[in-house]
Amino acid sequence: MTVKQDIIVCEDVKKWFGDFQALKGITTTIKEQEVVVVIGPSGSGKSTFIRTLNRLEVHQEGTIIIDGVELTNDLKNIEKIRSEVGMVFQQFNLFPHLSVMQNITLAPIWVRKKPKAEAEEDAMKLLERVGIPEQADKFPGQLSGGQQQRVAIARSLAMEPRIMLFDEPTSALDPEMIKEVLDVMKELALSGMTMIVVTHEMGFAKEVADRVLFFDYGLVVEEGTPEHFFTSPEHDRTKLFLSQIL
Amino acid sequence: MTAETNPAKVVLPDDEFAPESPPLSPTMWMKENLFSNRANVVLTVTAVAIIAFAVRNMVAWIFAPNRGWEAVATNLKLLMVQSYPSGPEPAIPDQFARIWVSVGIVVVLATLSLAAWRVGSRVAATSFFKTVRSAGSVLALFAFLGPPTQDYSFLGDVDIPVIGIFLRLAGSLVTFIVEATLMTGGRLVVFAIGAGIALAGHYASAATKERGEELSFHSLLIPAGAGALVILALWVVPFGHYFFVEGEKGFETGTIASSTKLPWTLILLAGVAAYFFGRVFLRFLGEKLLKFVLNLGWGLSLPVIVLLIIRDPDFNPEREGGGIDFLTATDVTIWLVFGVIGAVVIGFLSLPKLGEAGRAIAGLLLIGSLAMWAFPMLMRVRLVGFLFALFAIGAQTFAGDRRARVRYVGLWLAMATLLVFFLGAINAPGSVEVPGKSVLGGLLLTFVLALTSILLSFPIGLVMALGRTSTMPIFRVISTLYIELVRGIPFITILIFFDLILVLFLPGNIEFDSVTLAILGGTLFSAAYLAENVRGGLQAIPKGQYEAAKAMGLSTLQLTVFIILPQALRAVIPALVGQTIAIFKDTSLVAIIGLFDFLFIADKVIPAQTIFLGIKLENIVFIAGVYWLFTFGFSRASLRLEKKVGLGER
Repeated sequence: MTVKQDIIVCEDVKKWFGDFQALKGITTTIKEQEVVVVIGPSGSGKSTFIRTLNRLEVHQEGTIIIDGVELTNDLKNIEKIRSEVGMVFQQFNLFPHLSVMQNITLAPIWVRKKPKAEAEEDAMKLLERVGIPEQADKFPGQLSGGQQQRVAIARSLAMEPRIMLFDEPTSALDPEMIKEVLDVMKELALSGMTMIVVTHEMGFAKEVADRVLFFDYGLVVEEGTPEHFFTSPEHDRTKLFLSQIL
Repeated sequence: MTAETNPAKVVLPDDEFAPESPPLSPTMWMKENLFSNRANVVLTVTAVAIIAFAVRNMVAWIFAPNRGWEAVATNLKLLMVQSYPSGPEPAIPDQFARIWVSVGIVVVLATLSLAAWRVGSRVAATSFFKTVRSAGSVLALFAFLGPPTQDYSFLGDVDIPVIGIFLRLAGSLVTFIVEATLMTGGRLVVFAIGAGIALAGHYASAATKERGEELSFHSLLIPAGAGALVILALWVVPFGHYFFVEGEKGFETGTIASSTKLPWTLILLAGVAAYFFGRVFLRFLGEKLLKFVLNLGWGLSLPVIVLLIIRDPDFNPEREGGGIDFLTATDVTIWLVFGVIGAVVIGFLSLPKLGEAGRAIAGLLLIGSLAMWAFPMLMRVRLVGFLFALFAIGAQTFAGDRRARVRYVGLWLAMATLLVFFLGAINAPGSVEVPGKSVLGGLLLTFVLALTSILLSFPIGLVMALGRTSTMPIFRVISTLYIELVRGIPFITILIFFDLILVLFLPGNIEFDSVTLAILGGTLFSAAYLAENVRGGLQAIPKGQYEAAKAMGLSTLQLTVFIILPQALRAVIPALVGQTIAIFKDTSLVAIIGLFDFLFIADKVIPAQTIFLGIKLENIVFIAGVYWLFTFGFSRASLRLEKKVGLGER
C-alpha cells in the first residue's frame, strides 16, 4: 500500500455566528482516499464544519489547507478549491429551470471550459454510474427525491473533484429511497474518492467509513475507527448519543 | 450496479375509468348554478337586471342619432399616425407606403411567430358552428334592449307638475315595449342579422353532425377568416367614407378608398404566406433556426421601423463646403476601431489561460471607457466604447469552449455593427418632414414610446435590482438611492424635468428631441419599478441555489446569469407584464411636453376641429377600446408565456 498524502489539514478552526460559537477549535487531518463520517447531535457544528471546507462558511480563526492550498479570502484560491471539492446537499439544490443534462454540464462547460459535446458525453457516463441515464432530458421537478440526489452527486462528480463533501445527503429522502443514494455513495467510496460525509446513517458509517468523527458543542469529542466508535466509545457524551439513536 | 431494484412480480389491478359525468342540460345547469337557493335567485335576478340596464343604456348611447362617430371615422389617420407624412398638399404619395410597410413587417413577424410557436389547435366544426349559433342568438336578443327612438308622452306637451314627469316616463316605457314587441326603430335589422347568423350556425352544425365523421379545422382559420371577410367587405360593401379636406367635411359613397383596402389586402396575403412559409421552414430547417431568425427579426424590427422606415434618414446629405459623409468616414472609423480591432481584443481576452489577468484588463477597459465622458468627443464613441468594455468584462466569464468563444466574438461584431449603424441613423437628419415636434404621432407614437421604454428599461432595471441586493455597498447605495428617488416622483414631473431642465445640465452641443426625452424619462421611470419587481423575484430564490452554484466553482457573474436571473424572471412574469401594461398606458402623459400622442389627439385635437367642435366623448370611448384591446392582448400573451415556462409546476 502506498503512503497516502494528507489532503485536508485543519488546524484549530474556529467559527462564530454573531456571538454564538459554532466551531470551537477543530483540528484534524484527512488523508487521500479516506472516507470520514461525521456524526453528532443537531447543532453540534458538523454541518458548519464541512461547509467551511469549501468556504460556503468563512472560518474566523485557525487554518484550513486543502490539497496544499490555504483557504483565504483570495477569490482565485476559493474558485480553484471549489472546483476541486464537490458538495452534495441535504436539499439536493438542483437547478429547477435546467434539465438534468444541463445541470450536470453547466459547470464543466463554463468553469472547466470543456467543449459541450465532451461534457455531455461525460455527463451520460456519470448518469449511467448513478443508475439513471434515462432521465437525462427530464427536469428535476419530474424526478423522485432519490433520483434528484443521485443527479446532484453526478453533478458534483462532473467537475472531477478530488474531494467530495456530503451534507446529510439522505435526511430529506423517503426511507425507501435512502438505499439507492447510499449505494451510489458506497460505490464512490470503493472507487477511492476522498469523502467527508455528515450523516445519521449509522449503517453506512459502520460499513464504509475509515474513520468516524463525533461532534458536539463545536468540538470533535471523539474520533476513531467505526469498530472502536460503535463498540467501545470512551466518552460519556458519545455513549449517550449512541444509546439514543441505536 | 444501482439499477432499479426489481420487486417480486405482483399482479396489479388495472386503473378503472372514472365514472363519466354527462353534460347538464341548459335548464339543469341554470337550476344548479343560478337558482340553487333563495339568495342565489335574488343575486341572479338583480345581476341580470343591472347588466341589462347597463347594456341597454350603452347601446342607447352608442346608437343615439346625435352621436358624432363620424369624427372618429374621419380622423382615423390622425389618430393612428397624426399628420404623417403630410407636409404641404398634396402629400407625397410614396410616404404613405412607409406606414403600410411597417404594419406589414409587424404582421409578417407575428404570423411567422404563430407558426414557430405552433399556436392554435384543431377545432371541431360542429362545436364551432354551435358557438356561432349562440353568438347570433345573443345578438338577436340585443334587439329587445334598444332604447325607444322617440320620447312619447300621453298628453303631448301638456305640462302638469310632477304628474307630467310620470306620464313622460310611462310614455317612454310604453313606447319601448311597443317598439320592442313590434321590432320597429332599427330593431328589426339587428334582430334579422342576429337571427340570420344563429340560423346559419344551426344548420351548419346540424349538417356537419350529420356527416358523422369528426370534421375539424385549424383554430387560426377563425381570425384569418374573419380578417379576410372584413377586408373583402372593404372591396364589396359600399360603406362610403367621410373625408375632411381644407376644413370641409364631406361624405363619399362607394367602397373604401384604395389607399386603405389595397394595403390591407396585401398585408393579409403576406401574413398568410408568411405563416405557411413558417410551417414549411419548421418542417425542413427546424424550430431552433426559425426561432433564432424570429428573435433577430423582432429585435431589429423596432429600430428598423422607427429609425429607417419612418424617419428615412439621409446618410449622405449634401452639405455646404462638401462636408464628410455620415456613414463613410466617422462611423466607419468607429466601427473599424471598436468593432474589428475590438473583436480581436475580445477574442484575446477570452482565452481560457488568461484567467484573472483577462478580467483585470477588462476592468481597466471599463474604467477607461467611463473616463471618455470626461473628455470632449462624440457621444457615439462613448456609447460604443462603453458597450465594448462591458463585452470585454464578460469575455472570461462566458467564453467556455472554442465554439462559445467564436460565438461571443461574433456576437460582439454583430452588436458593434448594429450599434454604429443605428447611432449613425439617429444622427443623420430624417428626410421625412412633418410640422410639429416629431415625425411620430398618434397610436404610432404611443407604441414607439412604450416599446422603447420597456426594452431599454429592462437591462437597467435588472442591474438596479441586482445592485440593490448586492453585497457591495457602493452598488447597493447607488441602486437604492436611484430607485427610491424615482419612485417618489410623479411621472409627469420626470417628463417636465427632462423636457425643460435636462438641457441645462448637458454640455452645450447636445440636444434631444422631445421623443428622445420622453423615451429617456419613460425608461428611467419604468426601470425603477422594474427593479423592485425583479428584486421580489430575486428574494424568492432559495439560498441553496446560490450555495450549489458556488460549490461548483461558478463565479458570481456566471451564477447570476445562469442560475439566479432565469429563475427570478420566471417568478415575476405577471408583475413584469403589469409593468408593461402600466407603461403602455402611462405614455398618454407625454402630451404634457407637447407630443401628439393617441390620447391627446382624441382629447384636444379632434374636438378643436371646426366641423367636429366639441365632439370628445366618442373619441375617448374609441381610444379606450383600442387601449383595452392591446392591454388585453398583453395579458393573454403573458398567460401563455407563464404556461410555456412552466410557472408553478416545478
